[in-house]
Amino acid sequence: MAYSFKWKITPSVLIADDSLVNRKIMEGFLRQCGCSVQATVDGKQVLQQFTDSNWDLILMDVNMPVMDGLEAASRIREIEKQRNIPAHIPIVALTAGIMPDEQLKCYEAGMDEVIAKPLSIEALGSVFKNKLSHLFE
Amino acid sequence: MSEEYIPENLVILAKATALENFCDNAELLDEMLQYFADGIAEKLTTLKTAIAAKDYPVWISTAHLIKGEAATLCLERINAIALKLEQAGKRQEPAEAEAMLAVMTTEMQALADILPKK
Repeated sequence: MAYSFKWKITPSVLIADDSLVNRKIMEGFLRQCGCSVQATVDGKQVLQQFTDSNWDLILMDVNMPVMDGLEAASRIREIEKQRNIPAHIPIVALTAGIMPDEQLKCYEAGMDEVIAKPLSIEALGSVFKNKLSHLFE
Repeated sequence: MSEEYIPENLVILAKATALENFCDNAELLDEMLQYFADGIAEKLTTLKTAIAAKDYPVWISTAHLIKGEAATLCLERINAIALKLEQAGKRQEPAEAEAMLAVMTTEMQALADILPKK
């Protein structure tokens, strides 16, 4: 099974997970798919990176120390509103808990999609098709 | 003792599924398994200290972290015992935690035994 994506421009993906193993895996998968990646360890760092640079996609864990993914997503949506940014950045939650109420919390916080751990390249491919198809060649 | 906490049909490493998740990149999978194994001693110490001190937030978050990493790497037995430990922490039930921790230590040794020697 091989996944290859041809991009018009290299997608910039911001990832967040407090687990080093999970960050390494996400980075490995995303680079294999031709993305550039910046890794962070919590929601606070995500917010900082979001305000400092431009991103095509944010992929983050929900349960993180310091600031969790739900609060980070909610704050990002507030910032987008305050700045009148017309197209919001896709935020995808990566979580071990995919009970309906947990998924609902993610959507209520402003996340666009919820994918279950363990992450697979196949799941990433689906995210790309749903959220980054405008960057496909 | 492990049979009390881990369903017997679970394996240490569900390699076929893991490889599928890793797009048949065995090198990346081995590297990540090694990362996991290298970091586990510190997490087990944190967990042991948290259990002894009944520090439930640290207990729950550490067990949750191990559970998530084990799930990602298809380490079924470690995932199962980490889940039990997380649930015990959430219920604030320390009675069986020592026994669960011993099972996790045994399962970690079983994983170390199947990983390539460094």
